[in-house]
Amino acid sequence: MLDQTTFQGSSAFEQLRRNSDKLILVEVGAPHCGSCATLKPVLEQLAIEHQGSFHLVEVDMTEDPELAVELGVRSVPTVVLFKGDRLIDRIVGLKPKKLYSESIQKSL
Amino acid sequence: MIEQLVIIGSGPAGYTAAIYAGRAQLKPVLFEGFSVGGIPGGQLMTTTDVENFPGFAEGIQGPSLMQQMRQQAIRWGTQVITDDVIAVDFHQRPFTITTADLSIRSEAVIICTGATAKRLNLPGEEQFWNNGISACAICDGANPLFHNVEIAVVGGGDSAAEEALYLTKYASRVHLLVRGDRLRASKTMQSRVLNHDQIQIHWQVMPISTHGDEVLQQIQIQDQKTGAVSELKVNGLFYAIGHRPNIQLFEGQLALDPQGYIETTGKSTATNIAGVWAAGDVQDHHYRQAITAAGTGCMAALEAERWLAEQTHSLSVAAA
Repeated sequence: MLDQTTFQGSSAFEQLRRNSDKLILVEVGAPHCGSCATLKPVLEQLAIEHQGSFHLVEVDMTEDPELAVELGVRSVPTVVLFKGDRLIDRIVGLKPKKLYSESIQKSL
Repeated sequence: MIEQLVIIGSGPAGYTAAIYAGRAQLKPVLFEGFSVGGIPGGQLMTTTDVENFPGFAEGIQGPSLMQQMRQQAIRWGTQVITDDVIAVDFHQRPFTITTADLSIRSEAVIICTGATAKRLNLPGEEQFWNNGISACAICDGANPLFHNVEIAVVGGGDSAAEEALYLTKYASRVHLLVRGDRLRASKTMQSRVLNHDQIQIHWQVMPISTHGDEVLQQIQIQDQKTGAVSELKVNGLFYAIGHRPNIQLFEGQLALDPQGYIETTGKSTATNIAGVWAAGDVQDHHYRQAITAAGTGCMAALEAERWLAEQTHSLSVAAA
């Protein structure tokens, strides 16, 4: 499982947080959220480009509301970067692509 | 390599231009944007039911309409690039179009970057955006949320008057919040608003905050003369304080009309630069509908196609 680049949902996130020492990028979105739909393929592309160097976890706020609350998400899309239990960065809203890749580069 | 046609923007105007240009075998490159000036697909991406686009008798969701247009553009050979254009150079041909990652040259450009509705950015606004607060009465007015309830419209121009009148069809009472001491709307609109028994005008007031639970329930308004703050129980708050065309990229290069939109010539979509056309809301502050944007997108593609053919023709004549 740890070789995969893209995961879905809170249980995948919990597993990765416990078992992986790599960077985890959590994308919290919601259905009918246009900006989330725009962001999704961009992060998936970044995950492919960085093959293996970080895990991307896609979380649907309506399916995993507890995690969204835990991560302090009040608006979607929100991207949260984790290393183990340490929160490294948080990007709220749809931002220029460069911001995501820069944040990943810094945190790797 | 020099492209024949680049389209900047991806609302109904951009995709329609791409469909026509694609079918004319111009192999258009379309920059659909990313995070500047709204998301790819444009203003309809943040709309729910589109009930007035011909051909969809039962209505269609804004995002699925845009998805359909996008697919249709791709089917006819459009190359879609999901990124924001950050610079253009129209000073010499071929024109240069630049994103953070690449720069391409093109003989012709169609601008369809649209417009963004102005907002007041009140406390609570993000929370209630599309849950009571809207910038488009004509889009959202028929939402059951606004049936037989009191709502407010902010603005004093023609569009505020028009929206207030339109909303009386659904709402039990429309509060028109005018920030100044008079209406800027035309005389005809003014008298219709002033004489409408469902419309109550509040002069020299400014909304200052929004409140509710899942949806908007109440706003606070402040009297601009006395500073007194009062509550207004409304389930809807509509902004009619104008649109801002997304022209930042082109400032200093293209002629704008007195309202700041790209100026087009007569009944065409031609700008002041040969080889550059503008379609959709970026050049239209009057109609601002998906269907009119699509219409001008079509015009721009046809004009560009004809112009490109003439260029090729005159080049071959010159060579011969």
